[in-house]
Amino acid sequence: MKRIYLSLLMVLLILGGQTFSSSQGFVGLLEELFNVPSPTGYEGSMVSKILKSIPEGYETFRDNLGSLYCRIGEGKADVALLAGMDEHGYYVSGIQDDGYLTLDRVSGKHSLYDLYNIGHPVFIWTELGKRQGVLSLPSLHLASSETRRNLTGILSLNNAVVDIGAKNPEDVKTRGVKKLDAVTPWPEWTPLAQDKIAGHGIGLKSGIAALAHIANELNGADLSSGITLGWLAQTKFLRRRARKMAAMGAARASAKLEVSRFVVIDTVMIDGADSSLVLGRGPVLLRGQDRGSTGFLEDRIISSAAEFNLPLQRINGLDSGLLNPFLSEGREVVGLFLPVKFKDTPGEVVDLRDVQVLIKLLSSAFLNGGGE
Amino acid sequence: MKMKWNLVLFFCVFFLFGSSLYFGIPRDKYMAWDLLKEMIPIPGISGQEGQVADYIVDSLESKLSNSVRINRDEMHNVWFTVGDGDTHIMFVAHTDELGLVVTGISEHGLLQVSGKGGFFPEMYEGHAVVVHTNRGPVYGVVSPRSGYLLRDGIEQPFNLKEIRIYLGTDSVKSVEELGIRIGDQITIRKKVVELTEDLLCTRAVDDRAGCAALLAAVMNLDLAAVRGKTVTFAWDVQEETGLIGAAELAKKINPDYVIPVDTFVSSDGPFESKRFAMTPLGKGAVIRAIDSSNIAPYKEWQKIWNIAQKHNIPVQVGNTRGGNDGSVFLAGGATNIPISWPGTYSHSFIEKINRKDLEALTKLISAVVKDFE
Repeated sequence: MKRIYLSLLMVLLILGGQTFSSSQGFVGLLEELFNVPSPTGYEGSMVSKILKSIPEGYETFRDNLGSLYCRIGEGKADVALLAGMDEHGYYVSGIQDDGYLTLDRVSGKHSLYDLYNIGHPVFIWTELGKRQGVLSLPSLHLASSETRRNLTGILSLNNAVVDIGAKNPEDVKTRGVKKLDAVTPWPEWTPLAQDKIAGHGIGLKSGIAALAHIANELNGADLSSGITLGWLAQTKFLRRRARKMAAMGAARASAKLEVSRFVVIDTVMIDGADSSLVLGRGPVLLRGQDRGSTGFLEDRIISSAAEFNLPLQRINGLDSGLLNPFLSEGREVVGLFLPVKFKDTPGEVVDLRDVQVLIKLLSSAFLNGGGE
Repeated sequence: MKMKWNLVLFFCVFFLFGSSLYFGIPRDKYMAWDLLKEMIPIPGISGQEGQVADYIVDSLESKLSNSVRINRDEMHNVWFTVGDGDTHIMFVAHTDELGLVVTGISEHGLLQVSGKGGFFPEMYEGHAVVVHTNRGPVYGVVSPRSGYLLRDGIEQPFNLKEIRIYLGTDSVKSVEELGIRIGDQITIRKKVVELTEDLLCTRAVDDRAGCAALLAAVMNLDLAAVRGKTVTFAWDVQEETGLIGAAELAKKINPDYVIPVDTFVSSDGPFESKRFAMTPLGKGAVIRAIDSSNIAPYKEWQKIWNIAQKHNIPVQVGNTRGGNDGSVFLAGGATNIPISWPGTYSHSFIEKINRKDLEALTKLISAVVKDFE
């Protein structure tokens, strides 16, 4: 009897240890990806990192927007799990005679986004490597009373400059900085209480890491049919003249992938006045189409959540540029969104428990049985 | 011929490597730049400078003989005096930095704060901060203003009263379990940005750079050689909240000359008019002849200027804004001649400083100790 108890204890310890180390492995992967720059149009470094993070034997391919796809398993893949890969950021739009750099960004962001970065450090990603800089702001002591009263109204991207310690364009060139080099806020991984992490773009990077983690978990698994994972580039860049808001990377994936079922991973803010969403109560399921009954994807996710007692929140009516391109006859799309607090700020917060549930939901709903 | 070339080689080697030892030209063992980088991470907002004072006292104890008394009062002002002579010169740098302090905990687990010193509160919005508790650092995020995602979010105010810090918890009890108490100090998560080998941007250059320059000068000086004058070296507190530490020192010390070592806010930045305060970074230390609290007499600051010229120390002179610790000694009859380094982005998280200016300032302090009359 004693031997049985000891054996059971060892099994439990091994399983518990594996779960722990698996969890630590995911968090380590997330922290690595968090520090990789991927502003819209400059996703190359992130693609390289993802490729190093997933097993080598997978069939991978890219489209000419820069999105990365990974085919897993044999047989026709009729399910695609997709996540946006590009974060908000800037690029060098000009080099002034006094050595300061001007910036622009691809995506239109909320009115305070640039102000959050002014007065803080940035990285400039050059061919010669990473360079450090700061987004300048006025010295308090020399600021006019108007500036002191209304800093928010005075500073914007239109007068923002990056200081890299250069005095003239030649100096800038010596440091290897050129026009169109990507510029990102300095990433700051900040652990908070109760399994939360804060940082610029942490929600987006969690989605990227979740897919990469799933790719690893599937290595060697016996799937009944294939599945496609996709990390989409240029999702902050909107397709012109679309009937509904459509992220470019998603529009391209919709045209390229011969798949009828899509699960899109994204983030949703919980800070709205009318939001009932909460951190730590699971990812958020968003039905893509209005229909009288649930579809296959929705059913699988909901039943997996019930079977494994996984928390899941629901939301309706969210207009999503990532989902819209997949809305067409004969296709089903759902969103599985990570709730985030302080979305699109330097201190954006995600609950790691929600990310873990997202991974478990996708693993159990689709990957033990693949598509139908 | 061979002997001649051997002699040439010998003298080359001698002058390259041996002269400094032979002629006794001192090499600075303690560099202010290195001390600055060590002092930056130490938390010490106005009123909570204990840890910074610990660092300074520990450094001084390794240098000073037992015959020199290191003073430290309850506020954490630190000072010592050497030399003899009628003329009393006092150097002073302040150890405190800007920051926040916990004043309350909301029922939803958000921290309420008040500010220490003057700064743009918008700099904190949406950014990570550190609460320094007795049990160690606890991280939080300053909540962005309501409606920040909306186009009209820009019109919403954001001042100190608006600041709430989110820790990941949702109740008073859970916050207290993290070890956080009312009165704990809060600083931004400091990053040291190295623009170049000589240019650095970070929080609390004001006035950790002054502290570092003063400390480096002391550590490199032969204090026993201070003759013909009395010199006090002081690191005081609560400058940012009203020169409070200096006022306390002024009750105890009555120097003839007070030389604050603090920032010169230069207009060498992209947003400032160059009509005044234009002292470029990299061009040397600065004599802060005129500021918002003091006008240094021309003949007196000229003495420091001449000392700098004599020792080939690059120096500038200018006028700027802001007060300095020396001004509280004026009522007692002291002459106030602040010396500085040129800095930009004052009172921000990216205060900028040039290594060469800090080295020049350190050398200037040493030179003034030796030659000022």
